[in-house]
Order: sequence, then structure tokens, then C-alpha cells
Amino acid sequence: MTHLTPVPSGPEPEGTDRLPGLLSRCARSDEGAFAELYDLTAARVYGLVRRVVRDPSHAEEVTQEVYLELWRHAAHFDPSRASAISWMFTIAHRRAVDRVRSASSASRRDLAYSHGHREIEHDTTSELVVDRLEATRVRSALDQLTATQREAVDLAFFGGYTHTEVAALLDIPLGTAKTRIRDGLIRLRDVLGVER
Amino acid sequence: MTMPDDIHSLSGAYAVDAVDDIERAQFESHLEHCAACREEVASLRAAAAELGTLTVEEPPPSLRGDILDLVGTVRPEPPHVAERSLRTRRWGWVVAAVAAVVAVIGVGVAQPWDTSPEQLTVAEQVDRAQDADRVALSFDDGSEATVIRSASVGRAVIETRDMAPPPDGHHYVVWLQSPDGTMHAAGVMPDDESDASMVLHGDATESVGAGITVESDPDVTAPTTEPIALFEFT
Repeated sequence: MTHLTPVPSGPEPEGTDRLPGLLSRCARSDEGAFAELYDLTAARVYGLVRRVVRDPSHAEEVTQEVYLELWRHAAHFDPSRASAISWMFTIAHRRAVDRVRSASSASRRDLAYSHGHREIEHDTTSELVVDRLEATRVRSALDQLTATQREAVDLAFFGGYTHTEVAALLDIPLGTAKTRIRDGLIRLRDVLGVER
Repeated sequence: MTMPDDIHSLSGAYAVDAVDDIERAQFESHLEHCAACREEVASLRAAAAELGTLTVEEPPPSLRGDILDLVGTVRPEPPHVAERSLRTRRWGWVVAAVAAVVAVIGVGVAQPWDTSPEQLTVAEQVDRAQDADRVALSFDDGSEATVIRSASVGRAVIETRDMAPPPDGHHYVVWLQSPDGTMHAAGVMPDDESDASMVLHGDATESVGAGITVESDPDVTAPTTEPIALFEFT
């Protein structure tokens, strides 16, 4: 009996370039592809979730929900609308934010969020060299934001606060927080040269 | 005054989930017809995703096995192939999400009254019908909405209290849901009344629920946004 083998067609794509292909195989219930997808992205997904929800056991639960949703909705990924990593992070961030805002964890949440010293700290746990280089690039891009933009983006993205809550935390007018978040993200996008 | 400019400026907060559920529903309604904002949101999400390089952290090794075991028991959903199935699925899916922001404060059966139906308005008939089914929702901002449906009268009524007005240029459109999941437009809430009572258009005998969406076009024939409230009839 013969087996179908893939025809070699140039070099294998690496890292995040492989994600779209893995996602479409996940949509067809390919568990091997899912395992690869997990290995390529788990440190980034878990790291983001953990940063937002803080509690490690909650972070594990949320990460589980995220991967389950990625598996279930892999067919809904549309490469013409977003990159695979952006799509995955959108799902992960939303899940993390939903968790910190849910009533059950509200009481356990650290309400006195001390954004000052935690802000965009250096991460030393990653062994991924590519990510370290990338992190350096992102950190210097963040330096191009004004301090007030950085603060607003940090509270919204890593803190999981709504722009209304950000305005209250910083004691600034409602529209101002919204504008800082947007202007900060636009600056970040333009400095990084991100397309989508 | 809230101008279109104002809604565009929510793109950044929306891209990083820094919006509440109502703002999200409103902005998604705006996104339906604003290509510039869709483009901007996609690019800002991509920029925000780069921030994920700053928080890389290896998960506990046991998590991998747990997750791989879990997906082995779950069937991936098919791609979206038709608009109609998309709507039905989105609507069904959102029930759970909305349930999280809304608390059911009462489901009950009204007392019958000894008054002949001829003297009563439709709203009163529904309200006093023996089989009146009421679903009352209270929202985070303190507002309340109740839908009363009587299968014997065949109509439903919505009553609101302290409802915030819809964003400028938008309307609260009320829908009745058929057993097959299709949504039928059942009227537009008056924009200037926070305490309103409205008889829903259409036959409600068979309806399984009602919902409210925020729409820019009051004459829309199918919901274009996710509902901000859903009322499930018993």
C-alpha cells in the first residue's frame, strides 16, 4: 500500500508564516497541525493572557478556552482580513479581558492596579531568540509614543480596562482616554510599519 | 453633540477591547458600513498583537496535554458558507454572551382580569391575558426592559424604563424570533422616550423570543449587529 507524501515545493515556511496553513488543517480536524500551532504560539498566548488576568491558574483556564476557540473556529480565519497571529491574539485578548471583567473574578482582581512600575517590563523568561529581537524592536517603537499615550495603551491592553475606566484611573476627561489609546496605537502601528 | 467623528475615534479602544458591551454593539453596527474603520481596526489590532512579544512566558508543561486532549473531543465548526446560516448562528451564539451582562429579574404569569377585551388596548389585552409571558431584563446602567407576550392574543409588547437614547443616527430595532431562528423586524423604539411601551408588529403566537439591536437604518430587514438584549419566551 502506498501513502500520499507531500511534494517538496521549496523551503518550508517558518514560524508565524506557517500559521495560516496550520489553521486550515485544524479546520479539517488535524490534531497534529493543532499541536504544532500550539507549540509555535503557546508562550505568546499564555504570556499575554497571564499578563492580563494575573492569576496563573486563571491564566491556564483562559488559555485553554482560547485554544479551544481557535480549534473550533479555525475555519473562520480569513487571511484577507487579518494575519493569523493578529487573529489569534484578538481572540486571546478578548477572552482574557472577559475573564477579568466577569463578576466572579472581580473580587479577586487587583483593583489598585499599579501601572507605574509594571509598565512594559523586560521579560527574561523567553528562550525564543526571535521573540527577543522582536521585543527589542517593539520596545523601541513604544519609546516613540508620548508618556501619556503609553500609559493609556498599557492600561487598556495589558490592564484590560475600558477607556471609561482608563479615564477615571488617570483622572482625565472621557474622550481624552479614547483619543490617547487610538493615537498611541496609530503611532505604534506606523513606527512598526505594521500592515495588518 | 455626538458626531460621526466621535464614533470613528472609538476604533482604538474597540481594537483592544477597551469598550463595554453596549459600545461594542454600537461600534460593530458602525463597522458594518464604514470600510475606513474596519481597515483601521484591523491595522491597530495587528499593532497591538506586536505588544505580545513583550509578555512571552512559557505555560506550564501540563497545559499542552490538557488542551490536546480537550480538542480531541470537539468538532471544529464549518466555514461560513451562507449569510443566512451565519445570522442564525451568530444570534444563537450571542445568547450566552448577553446572558452575562443581563440578569433576568422575573418571569411570571399575569393575573387574568375580568374585563371584556373590547374595551382594552392591545397592550392591555396582552398584559392581562391569562397566558401572558413576561421576560424582564435589567442592564448594568440601571435601565430595564420587559417583553410581554400572549400567545392567545397573538401579540407582544415591549416596555422600557430609564433606557439611554441610542447613539446619534442609530435606532433600537426590536425583533421577534421564529422557531426556525429567523428574525422579523417588529418595530423601532421611539428615540426620545426612555420609558416607552410599544406593541410589537407581527404575530407573536409562535415566537420563541425577542431581541433588540442597534441599527443605523431603521428599515433594516434583518439584524446587522449583535443584539444588546435578548428575551427568551418560555
